[in-house]
Amino acid sequence: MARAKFQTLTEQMFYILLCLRTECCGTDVMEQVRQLTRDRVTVGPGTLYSLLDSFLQAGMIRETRVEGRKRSYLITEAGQKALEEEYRRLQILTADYEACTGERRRLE
Amino acid sequence: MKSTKYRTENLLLYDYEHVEEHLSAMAAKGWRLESIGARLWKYRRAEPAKVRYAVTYIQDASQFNPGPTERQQTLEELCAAAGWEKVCDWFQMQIYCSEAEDPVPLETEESVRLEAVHRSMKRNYLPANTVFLILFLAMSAWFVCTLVTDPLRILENSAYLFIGPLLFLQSVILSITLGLYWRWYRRSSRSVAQGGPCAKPGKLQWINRATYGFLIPWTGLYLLSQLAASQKGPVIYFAVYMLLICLLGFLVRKTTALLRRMKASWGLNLFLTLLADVVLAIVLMGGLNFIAIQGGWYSGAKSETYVYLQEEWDVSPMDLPLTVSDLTAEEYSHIRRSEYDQSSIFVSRRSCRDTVREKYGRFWLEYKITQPQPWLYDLVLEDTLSPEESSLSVRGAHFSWLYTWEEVPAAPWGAEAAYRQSIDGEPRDTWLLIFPDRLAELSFSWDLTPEQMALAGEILKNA
Repeated sequence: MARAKFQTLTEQMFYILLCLRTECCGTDVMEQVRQLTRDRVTVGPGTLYSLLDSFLQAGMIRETRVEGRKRSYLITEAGQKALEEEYRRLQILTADYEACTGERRRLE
Repeated sequence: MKSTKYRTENLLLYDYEHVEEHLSAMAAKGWRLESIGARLWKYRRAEPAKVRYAVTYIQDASQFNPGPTERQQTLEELCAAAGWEKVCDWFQMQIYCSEAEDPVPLETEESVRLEAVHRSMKRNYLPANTVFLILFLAMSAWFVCTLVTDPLRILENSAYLFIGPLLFLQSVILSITLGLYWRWYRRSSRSVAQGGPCAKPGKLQWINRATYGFLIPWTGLYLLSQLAASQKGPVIYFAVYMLLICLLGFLVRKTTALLRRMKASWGLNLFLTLLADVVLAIVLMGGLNFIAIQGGWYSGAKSETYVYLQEEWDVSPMDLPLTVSDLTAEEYSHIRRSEYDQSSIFVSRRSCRDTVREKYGRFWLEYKITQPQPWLYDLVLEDTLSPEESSLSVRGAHFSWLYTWEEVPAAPWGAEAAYRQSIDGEPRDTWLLIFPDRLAELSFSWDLTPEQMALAGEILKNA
C-alpha cells in the first residue's frame, strides 16, 4: 500500500524528504522548505503532521529524538530511494520536454 | 452583560470549511469559541476581531483520552510554530485560531487533508451512524411486518402508533447523513485526483428543519390525543422520560470527565463510561417504570388499602361501569377494584376488575370493553374470535392449550351475538358479547342468573 501511495511524490512530499536528509524537527522542516523554495512552496502544520506520520508508517523516515513535544526525524533508505526515483522521474520529464521542444524548434 | 453563551450548531464533523467560516464570523461578532460539549458549543465574549480559524483531524483524538495524545502534542507544537493557537477538539477535529494577518494555512495539500478527514470519520462517525442505521432499519422492519401480519397490535396501541413513524424518520435521517458523507467523499476524491480541492459538503440544516418540522407536531399530537382521552399517565411518563434522558446524558458526560481528571486510560474510561451508561439507564428507566406502575400512571391512582384475610382491600373503591353489587343488589364490606385503560385513536379498550368479600364468600367479575373505529370493527371481531394457543414450560415440562370461542344464544344477554370461551374444548365462565359498536369480554366467579345476564349485557352495551 505504502509503495503505491508514494510511487510519485507531490512537491510537498518531495521537499520534506529532501530536508530530512539531515536530521531535523518538524518546525525546522517547515522553515527549510520555505527558504529552499524562496516561499514558492509552503507546508502547513496540519499537512506536515499528516505526511510525517504517513512517512513514518511507510518506513521512509525514522524518529531520531524526542525532546518534550519536539520530535526529530531522519530519512531512511526507503525514503532516500523514493526521493531518488522522484528525481529520476523529474529528469525524464525534463529530458522529454527538452527533446520535444528542441525538435519543434528545428522544424520551425 | 453575559460573558458566555451556549449554542447548538448544525455543523457536520467533516464540513471543515463551514466550521472555520462560522467561527470566524462569531469572533467578528465578539464571541470566541471556548469548548464543545455533547450538544452545546460554549463561546466567551471578547472584543470583536478578525480571527482566522482552521481545523485539522487526528485519528486517535478521543474524549476518553486522559489528556492530549502524543500525536496531538506534536501537532500542537507544529501549529504553534506556524502561529496557530489550539482552541479545542470536536471528536477528531482539532480547532485552531490565529490573529496573524496571513498565517500559513493549516492544510496545504488537499489529498492529505481528504485522507486525514476520511481516516477520522472511519474512527467514530461512520461506524456509529452505520450501527444505528442497522438498528433502526431492523426496528422499522419489525414495525412493518407487525403492521402486515398483526395490524391490531399496532393500531390499538398509542405508543406503537407514535413510535413507528419515528423509527422510519430516524432511519431516513441516518441514511441521508451517511449518504451525504459518501457523496462528499466520492466527489472530493474525484476532485483531488484532478488536482482540485475537496468538494463542498451538503448542508445539514434542511434535514434538521424537516426532522423538527415533523417531530414537534407529531409529539404534540400524541400528547394531545392522550390528554383528550383523559390519559394523563402517558403524558407524565413522556415528560419524565425526556428529563431522565437529559439527566442520563449529563451523568454519563460527567463520568467521562471525572475519569479524564483521574487520568484513567482510554480503554478504562470507555469501559467505565459504557458501564455507567448501562447501569444508570437501568436504574433511571427501571425507577421510572416502577414509579409509573406503583403510582398507577396507566391504571389510575393507587388507592388507599387495608388488609383483611391476607388480602388488600380498598378504603374508597373507585366507580366502575359494572360491579358485583350491580348484579347481586347486595352491599359488600370488602371491595377491591382496578381499571386499566389502553386506548389509541383507532381502538378504545377498557379493562375492569371487581372483587368483593363477605364472611360467607369471595366473588369477582372482570370484563374488557373494546370499541374500535367502525372501519376496524370486522378486523377486531375476527381477531378476537380466532383461536389462540398458549404454552408454558415448567421444569422442563411443556404445557400448551388452545382457547376457542363457541357461539351461544345471545338473547339472554341482550346482545347481537354471544360466544363462550373453551380451553381445549372445555367451556369456561368467560363470554364474549357482540354489540353494534363494541365487544365485551367478561368472566365471573359464580353462575349468573338469567336476570343477572340481562343486566350485565344492558350495562356493558351502554357503558
